[in-house]
Amino acid sequence: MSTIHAVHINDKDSCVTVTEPVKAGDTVEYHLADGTVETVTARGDSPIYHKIAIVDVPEGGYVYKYGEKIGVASCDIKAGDYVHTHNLKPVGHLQEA
Amino acid sequence: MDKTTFMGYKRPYGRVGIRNHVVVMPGVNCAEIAARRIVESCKGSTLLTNPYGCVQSQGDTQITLKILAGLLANPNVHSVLIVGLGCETIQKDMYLNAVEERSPGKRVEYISIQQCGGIGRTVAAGISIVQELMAEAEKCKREPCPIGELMLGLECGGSDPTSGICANVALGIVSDRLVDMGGSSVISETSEAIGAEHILKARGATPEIGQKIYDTIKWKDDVYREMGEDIRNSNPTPGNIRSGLTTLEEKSLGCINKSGTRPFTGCYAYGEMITTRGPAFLETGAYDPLSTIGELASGCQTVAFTTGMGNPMGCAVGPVIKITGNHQTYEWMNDLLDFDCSASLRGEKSHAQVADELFDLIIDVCEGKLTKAEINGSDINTIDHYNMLC
Repeated sequence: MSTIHAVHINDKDSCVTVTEPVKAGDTVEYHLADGTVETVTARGDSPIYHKIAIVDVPEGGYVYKYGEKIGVASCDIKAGDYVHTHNLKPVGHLQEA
Repeated sequence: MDKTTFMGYKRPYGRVGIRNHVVVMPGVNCAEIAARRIVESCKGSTLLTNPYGCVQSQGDTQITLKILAGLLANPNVHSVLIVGLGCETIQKDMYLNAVEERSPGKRVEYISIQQCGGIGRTVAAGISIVQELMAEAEKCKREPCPIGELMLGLECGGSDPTSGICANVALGIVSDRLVDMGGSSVISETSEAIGAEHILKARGATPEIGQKIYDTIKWKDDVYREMGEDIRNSNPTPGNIRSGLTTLEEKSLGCINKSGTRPFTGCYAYGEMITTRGPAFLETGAYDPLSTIGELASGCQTVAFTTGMGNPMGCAVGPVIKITGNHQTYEWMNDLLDFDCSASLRGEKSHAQVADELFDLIIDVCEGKLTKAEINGSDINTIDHYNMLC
């Protein structure tokens, strides 16, 4: 099991972008804005630059990246899950400013 | 860091060019063979292809004319020879008036195959005109111009997740710096603002500008819905998805990073000339060539184009600078990429340090350094249809 680096952008984010390929069981390590180092154990494989959840998101809940809604969970997502089209759908409508 | 000027070509209509092209353009697609042969015989002249020019709807004809006239009016273009067929919809005076309106005093010559009498005579007449234009262009010399005279197009294509978190972040810092020096930056690709509409609206310099940007994005979303489609089903592309972008909203939120943080001072229609300083939003399709050409046609001298997966496209009238945050892509496709941002992704440099290097490269390109797209000779021209919105 390796330690994998990931990019965390905003404190509201529910996922991080991995900068190396990930295998299930790897430790995914990322830095918060204040420098704190956090980790999550990957529950699935992920290609380089794809997303791993860092919090649980229930089905129908929003997934955040850049501190913004990037989609809706189409099933329950657990911290450590690989996040992509199999569990994340578009928000689907415009947002009001 | 302290540089405030660059060496450019001052044009009599008040803009500054970064290239000094003598352009030959077919007035209609049918006439391209003659235009191409003239350029082949006049080393240093530039062919601008024209996919249309005839038998379009009135709306499409106006769009074609606006984009072509905008490209010819670009300050990178010293002078122009249009080679028509003769019978096409867009006639000589329509071109001449449209270019004159956008760049008063620019020399535009016109010949036609039907009037000259065949390809051979047209090519001979064209060579003579282009040689004269090139002799005039030779007399133009670069001189110091404020960096604030630059209008930088901001484009991303073949995006992957590094685009939004790395290359576009650096480009956003570049955009802010240029705007702070009095320059302009232009973001387009309306449908790739879907998911970020609330952020762009809030960034309007006035509530009216913010609302206009929001309404433009809503209009594009609605156009698809009226056709019975949801654009979120056709964008992101298969390549975007393979590389790790899941939804249009995720892609858009990464896209807008390249426009930086300064307030938007204008929102423009496709084909409209941009006249404001500061960041502008330009309505275009999200198809990369359409958008890049649209930015150049609205007055950008160059386009900074970020890519995750690689894209070779260039345009005849303005350099397109290829930037990536994906180091593997930079190594793999080095013959089409100009700049590697990935040091910030690895934590070796800050985004600000990478942005400083990118800013310097952009100024070097403005002073004549050739981009990979120029070296490769990529000179595509693409124009949207009134009823085909990508």
